[in-house]
Amino acid sequence: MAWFKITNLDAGTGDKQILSDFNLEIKPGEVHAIMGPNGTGKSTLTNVICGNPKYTVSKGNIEFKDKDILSLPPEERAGMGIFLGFQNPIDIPGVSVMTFLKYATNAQRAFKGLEPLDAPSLLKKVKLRAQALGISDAMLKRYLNVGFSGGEKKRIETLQMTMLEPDFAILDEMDSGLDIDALKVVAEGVNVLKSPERSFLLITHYDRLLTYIEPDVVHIMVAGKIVRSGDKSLAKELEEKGYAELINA
Amino acid sequence: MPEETLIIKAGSKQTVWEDAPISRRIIVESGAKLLHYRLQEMPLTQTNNSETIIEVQENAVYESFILQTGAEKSFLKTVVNLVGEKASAFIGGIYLAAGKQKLRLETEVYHKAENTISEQQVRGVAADNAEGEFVGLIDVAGGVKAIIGNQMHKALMLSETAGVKCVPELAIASEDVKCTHGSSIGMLDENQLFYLQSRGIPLSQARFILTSAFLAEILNTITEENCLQNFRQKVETWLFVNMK
Ligand SMILES: Nc1ncnc2c1ncn2[C@@H]1O[C@H](COP(=O)(O)OP(=O)(O)OP(=O)(O)O)[C@@H](O)[C@H]1O
Ligand SMILES: [Mg+2]
Repeated sequence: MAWFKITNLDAGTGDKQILSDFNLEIKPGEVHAIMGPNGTGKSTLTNVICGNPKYTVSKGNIEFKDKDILSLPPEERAGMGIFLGFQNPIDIPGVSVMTFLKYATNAQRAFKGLEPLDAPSLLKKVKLRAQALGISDAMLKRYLNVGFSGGEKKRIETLQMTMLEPDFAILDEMDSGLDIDALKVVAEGVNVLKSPERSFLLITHYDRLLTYIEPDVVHIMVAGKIVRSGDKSLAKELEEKGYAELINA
Repeated sequence: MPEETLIIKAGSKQTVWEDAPISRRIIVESGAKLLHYRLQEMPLTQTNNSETIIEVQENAVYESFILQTGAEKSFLKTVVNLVGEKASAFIGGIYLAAGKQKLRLETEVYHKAENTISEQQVRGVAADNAEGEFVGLIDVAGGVKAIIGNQMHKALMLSETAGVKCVPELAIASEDVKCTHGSSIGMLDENQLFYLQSRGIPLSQARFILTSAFLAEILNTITEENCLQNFRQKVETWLFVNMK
């Protein structure tokens, strides 16, 4: 068994197979990045890891902390410490950001056998982390993601991650839609969380993110599987050559 | 036809709270404002068939919120006549149906004078084998100018066997009118459920949170604080009982 390992995974939605014979292993403390053309299955992979019922797995398995997680519902995977920063965060009308953070924080505490965090401590924790990410009090009172700009949504995803302090954070295009300053702020949010016990899987189209958050391994994914892996220089090489040349090389 | 009549005196402001449906006429005299809060939580052994007819005079405001959760079968009808210039009506409503209940909410608004405004905002939840229904009408008389009328109905079905019907109707005989109406009926959104679950929130709690949020959006339009708290609590209680 392994800390995090995907073995020979086939997955898709409806009749459509999207991931085929997919393999990936991540060790505690590592930062991995996946790059790949649009529609190649990167977001599908993140959804399958987190247990989105829209996707079905027809072969293979996923282990996390020495446990087969494929049979677990999404909330239990989250309870084990997996976090997904969504490429397209979902609007939740009627629930403010603050209230949502309370639900999420206390749900995860329940998995650890902890009492709900009292309101003043929660508020303090949220404010501190929100401030670091340049999120205003006014935004915390708004309905989650409703009418938020692309960049604001990504900041709120990052805020959720820094609140929940997951052991394994999967960030799907955290950098898309962010201006340069916001990118630094969000990258800083990731960097402060880095530790020998915590791993990250970053999905990105741009080398820039990886200059702020240094990956240990970069994977190139095409048509539902990883076709090349290397160190961070692979991202640079990709930026220069593009997918076609790199894959045929 | 209702026989009793309640008169809100010209220029006054009144809040009226009803614990049970009453069939009656209400006249909101010129320049007056009525905040009208109505509850229908009758026991399941009973049925309800009630009708309130409201006349809103010049410059008067009728603001109302209805919460309907009771009775085995209920037919709760509200008729608003905007008879004076610059009269306005806001009707908010929630129906929550469970078990084998059949709950119908009907609102009819008649714009009979110029520069009148109306708004109907209704949300419903149907669980188990229950049936919910909203029937709404905006009627604008011929030759009456500068009218604004909006109507929106949204409903959630919490089970495959629940049912919701919406019968929206516009009867407009004038040209200088801005009217909108719409209805959406569906189940809880799967993407929203997954988003909540991905944060560690168990499915049953996620369903509860989203249903509560769906209703909170319209509850939050209630302007009278005590009534708001009261309705909120009743809605939460209903959700606790019916969303195990
Ligand atoms: N729920 C779904 N229903 C139908 N098709 C889907 C669904 N989810 C993904 N797909 C399809 O699967 C393929 C992979 O999609 P996915 O979102 O995983 O790509 P991606 O690598 O994340 O792309 P991008 O870089 O554009 O974000 C696409 O062709 C997409 O249209
Ligand atoms: Mg994607």
